Amino acid sequence: MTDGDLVAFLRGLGLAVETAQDANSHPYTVIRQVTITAGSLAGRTCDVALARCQSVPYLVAPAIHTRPALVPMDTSGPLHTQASQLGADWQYWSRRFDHSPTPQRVWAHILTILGEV
Amino acid sequence: MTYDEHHLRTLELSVAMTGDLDAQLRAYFRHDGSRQEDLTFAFWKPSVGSARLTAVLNRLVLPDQDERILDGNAAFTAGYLSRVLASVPDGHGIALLHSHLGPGWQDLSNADDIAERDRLASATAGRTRLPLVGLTWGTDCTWSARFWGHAAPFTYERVDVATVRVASSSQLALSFHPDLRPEPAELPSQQATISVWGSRAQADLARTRVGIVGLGSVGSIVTEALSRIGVSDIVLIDHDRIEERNLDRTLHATHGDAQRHTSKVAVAKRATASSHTAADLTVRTVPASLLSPKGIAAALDCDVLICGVDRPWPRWILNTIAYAHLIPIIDGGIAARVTPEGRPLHIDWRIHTVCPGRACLLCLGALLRSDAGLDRDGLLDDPDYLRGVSPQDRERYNRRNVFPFSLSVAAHQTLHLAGLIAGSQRISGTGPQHYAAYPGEMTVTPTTACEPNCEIAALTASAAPLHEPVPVRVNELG
Repeated sequence: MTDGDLVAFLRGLGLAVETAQDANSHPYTVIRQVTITAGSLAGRTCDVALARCQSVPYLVAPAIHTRPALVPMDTSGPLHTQASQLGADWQYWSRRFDHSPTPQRVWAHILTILGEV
Repeated sequence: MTYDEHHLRTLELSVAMTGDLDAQLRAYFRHDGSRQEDLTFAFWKPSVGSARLTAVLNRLVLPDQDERILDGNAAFTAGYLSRVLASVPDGHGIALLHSHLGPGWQDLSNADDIAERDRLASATAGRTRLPLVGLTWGTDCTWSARFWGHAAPFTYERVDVATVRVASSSQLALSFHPDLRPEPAELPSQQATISVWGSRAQADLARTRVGIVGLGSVGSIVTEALSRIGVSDIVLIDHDRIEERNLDRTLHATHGDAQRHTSKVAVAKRATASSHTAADLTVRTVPASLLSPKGIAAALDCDVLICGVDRPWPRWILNTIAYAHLIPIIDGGIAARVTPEGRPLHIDWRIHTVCPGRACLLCLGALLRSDAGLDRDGLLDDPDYLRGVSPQDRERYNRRNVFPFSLSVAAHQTLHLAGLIAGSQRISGTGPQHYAAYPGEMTVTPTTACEPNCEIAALTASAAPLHEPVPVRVNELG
């Protein structure tokens, strides 16, 4: 998988995708206006960012970032959220991803994180 | 990189292939009951180390029935060559492989010489910008090989390779150029060693270039073991320096080293000077991180690598090297959990060799993708992040260890190496080993393989670059 594969897959789902950089010039893929369909956040929309992979083979950045912050910052609690390097309007969700990378799995990972709240 | 003859002569040259490709070629070249040579073309990718260029063969382009002429000797038709030139993928070179009817390292006949130098070298280099690689197969399965470098207009010269390695699940089979990597003499100081695994295995082991990544507790002991058993070509890679806290685990490190902050590679090299049994020992020290371009390039110079690091991101890199560049990795890991009161709760260690045909570190469960990602992003050094991780994860990151654990892991890593080179499971065991200190039992998994969709196995023989920055402009996709 490559970042390009992920972007193509997301666009195939009808999602708008663009890129951003954090303060260290690290690039991210940003999925615009994701609608959460399950859990206590169902019905809300947010932008979701994933760090892009610059190494071979592709290593999925397990954390996601959302804009706006959807839940309280909670470094040591069950939510494992904190401030994001992407900026003050973003929230970092610390998570793990231990599967071989495919666009479908990455998308399921994002929806699972947002639907678990 | 340029590949003219002059430049090629400044490098050590090598060829590598998987055991599967080698087996396919063996079956193809064998003409039972007849003295018939044969040939085929193949594609290769360059694996570039600091001092070595390796042609990693990754695909055969076998001839159709009418594309070669067999009359005892073998010749390719112009049509076959045209098809190969038209189908070579970008970034790949072309190799001609042919069989001879005798054993051992093969020289070229006059006809072979003309075929490679005059018929092929210019056409393939012009098409691919990479030199032609020629390989010859001997009846004892020894491979010999050479590159053809551009020397002058319309002139190509042969530059011999030092080694051809075949990385399979059962053996790292090396063919050595008799002059560039000559067979060492048997020495009285190695008598006991040779009496166990024999002259053939010792000659191969002695000439294998072994890299040790991480010269801490395990790596320092492995270096001593290799030096004692006669390995004559060792590369030591570690950026770290000796501190007081290393003295209970690092072989040969002294209080003086801690005060002077001697590099770990220098300590290991110093010890080999007085312990080695090889007639001529070469120890190259690389005081750099494996994660640096210098560290990666040094690793790509090696025939096999022993992993003495426990950080996930370097192990991810090594895992990739094993498959993409066909350099087997012998890895070991120690886990020691203690009670909140500081008493031993559970201690175990694992030893495994990873290369094509065997499960990689991810598929063995010896490395987690998420740990590699966290380490790559610096989060395993971030106290704020570590405060928030689960107790189980924190245990995994604690890296507790004592010297005797390292002795055991280093011993088994060395045996894995000897067994891999000798092709003898009676030395290495049959597969990954897992030792539980309580009750004191070693378990072995006889066979392993990567999962069908493993992204590491998918890179096999790709010689993929290990750091490939992807230039991205903000909103380029928007």
